Amino acid sequence: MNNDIIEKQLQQLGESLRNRESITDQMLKNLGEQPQKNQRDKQHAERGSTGFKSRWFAFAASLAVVACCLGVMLFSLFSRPQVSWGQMTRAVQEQEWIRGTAEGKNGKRTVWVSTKNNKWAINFSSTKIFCNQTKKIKYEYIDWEKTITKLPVDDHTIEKVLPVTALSQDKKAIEPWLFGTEKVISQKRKVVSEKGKKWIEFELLMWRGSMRNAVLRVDPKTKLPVRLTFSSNGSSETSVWEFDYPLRGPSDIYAMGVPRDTKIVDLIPDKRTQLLLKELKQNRNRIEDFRMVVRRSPERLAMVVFKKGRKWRVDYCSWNSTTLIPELSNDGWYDGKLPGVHSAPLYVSDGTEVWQNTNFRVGQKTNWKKSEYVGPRNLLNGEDLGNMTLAPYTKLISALYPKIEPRKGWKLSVDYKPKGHKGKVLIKTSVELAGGKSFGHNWYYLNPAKGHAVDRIELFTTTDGNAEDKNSIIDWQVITMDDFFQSKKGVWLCRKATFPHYPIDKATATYHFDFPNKLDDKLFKLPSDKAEKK
Amino acid sequence: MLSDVKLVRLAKQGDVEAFETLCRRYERSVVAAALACIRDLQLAEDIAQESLMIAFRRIKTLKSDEKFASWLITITRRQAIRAARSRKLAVKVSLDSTETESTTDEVDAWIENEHLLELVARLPEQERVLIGLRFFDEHSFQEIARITDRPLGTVTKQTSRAIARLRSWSSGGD
Repeated sequence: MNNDIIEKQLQQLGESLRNRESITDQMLKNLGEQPQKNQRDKQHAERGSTGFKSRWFAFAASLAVVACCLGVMLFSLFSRPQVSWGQMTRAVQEQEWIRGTAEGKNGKRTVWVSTKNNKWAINFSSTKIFCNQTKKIKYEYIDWEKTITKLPVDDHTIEKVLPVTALSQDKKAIEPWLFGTEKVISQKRKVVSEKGKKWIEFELLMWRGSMRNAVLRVDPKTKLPVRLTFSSNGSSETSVWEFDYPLRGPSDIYAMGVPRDTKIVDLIPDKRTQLLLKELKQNRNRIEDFRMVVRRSPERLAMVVFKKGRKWRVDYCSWNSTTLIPELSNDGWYDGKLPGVHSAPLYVSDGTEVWQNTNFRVGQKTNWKKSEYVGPRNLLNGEDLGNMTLAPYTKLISALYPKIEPRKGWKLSVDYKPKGHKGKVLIKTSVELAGGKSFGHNWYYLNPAKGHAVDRIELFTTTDGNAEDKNSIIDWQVITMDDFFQSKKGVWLCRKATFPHYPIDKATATYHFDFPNKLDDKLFKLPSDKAEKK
Repeated sequence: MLSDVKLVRLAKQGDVEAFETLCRRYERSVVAAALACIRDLQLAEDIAQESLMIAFRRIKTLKSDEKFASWLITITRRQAIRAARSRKLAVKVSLDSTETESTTDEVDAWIENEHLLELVARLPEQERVLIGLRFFDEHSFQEIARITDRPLGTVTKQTSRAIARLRSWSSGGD
């Protein structure tokens, strides 16, 4: 059994490696650039024994060998157009700008990217965005708002815009110039002829997105892409991008037609706040693989959460089994007894999509469907314990290390000496709610002594924008986290969270973490596509 | 299909194609060897490429032609260890910069393979080469037998032994 797992893992690893570009191709290219030394060595080896010592002759001979090699290479190049993925990528990266244009229902869309200048820009009818990735600043302009919003960007912001939002993905850039950080999971190359001209076409399957199938057409002469066509499985809908390579692109947002006197709303936090937000993110990313048992009282509700890398899963424990699970116990209890607890899968995510079992009663036949409401990063990247309604209180990491960032329409400020909470740091965020008659406020109290983990969250609504005006508060909830400990990697986690629970005054969730060296990949296996069709 | 020994002899005489065949035969195993030492796929590929270049330049110094694979992987491991050291220093220097965070994601994807790669790196030389050829470079047992100039039965037995070893280590055995 274990044997099969090892073989499977080796096969998967091999597959990942084989999906990469051949390093031999690149190596041969490099050899071609510096052949003299090797060829000289070769001449010594071959001719040395015959007494042929003339350097000039050796040099001439080596040139002849190089010429022969080049001849063979050129012949093979012209007899069959060959462009590797790597060659194409390098060709693009050598360009000043790549410009992609697409016609859509809402008009023309244009994307500019310059890997040389580390800048990109998009113009989607009424929206214009310009980003200087080096300075990590993005400017957004929407026609009807008549303001420019200045926002910070991180290394992954490009994922959200290039070149089609539908393909956005959060990691593993294969080639950020084109696909954002979308991952290409398979790639086939072929030569096609059209009107007497030969093209190289890469058939790509993207990691995720509604349009996962793509065909990239490359000109074998320039090695540059000329067209990218996206399509979805089982649908005739396509999206076509045409590429060209201008020497100049937009230098700023004004060069895209935004009036120079437009008001700028600056949402870049000060340096200290940036560091604080960065620390939250780093801690969230540092958390190792875990198994977490969640036990909620006063009702009997228990769930088991598994997290491995970006994959995760939530199991729902049977009502009867819940009685077996203590609120807190030593490791021995969970190791020994937990396998005997009956549970059914509720959510499973491979890090790219989330599937939900709508029939999660233990012992019943599962009924899987792709979740429309829960995203692959919801478990760890949210802002509090909410959002996953079927698995409440499992989003503990989101509560401890919330994803807080400057956002359009949101106010963000930090109070380093909050009243009544000595030694804490308070991050306040607020937004005007729909209708403009109320304001939502999320306040996070960070504990510097616990690695800036959040130990108190206040969520409330006011009838005016002033959060300090207690009379205008119409809804008030407090979540507190207690009983902190450090994981093996030193990340602060907690064993207890208390939250409002209506009509009961308060409810408590207790958490038991353990950090297994190896979590079986089978746990995170998605139901097949067939299940979705059913 | 020519065996390694024949290809190495040709490569020693300056036959670039023979060397290219050898490279294609082992390129994934070489990347895997680099990855076992360094957690960055891009860097591992660069190291692998550099190692192939070194092998090309130094192939005449290879004494036992039949040991090409393990010689190549040893070169790669040395290069990777060297790179890992300098990378550590580089990371230390740039701890305060905003650049460091992005590495988390890059590392993440390979982190699951890390343990497995470490185990493969612990295998005896011959077995490590067989695992690489079988799983990373995806050769059939027949091809491996021809490549390594060993009887088919020996190849399958040694591969099974290597997998058994990996299984045992993976489940916590020494």
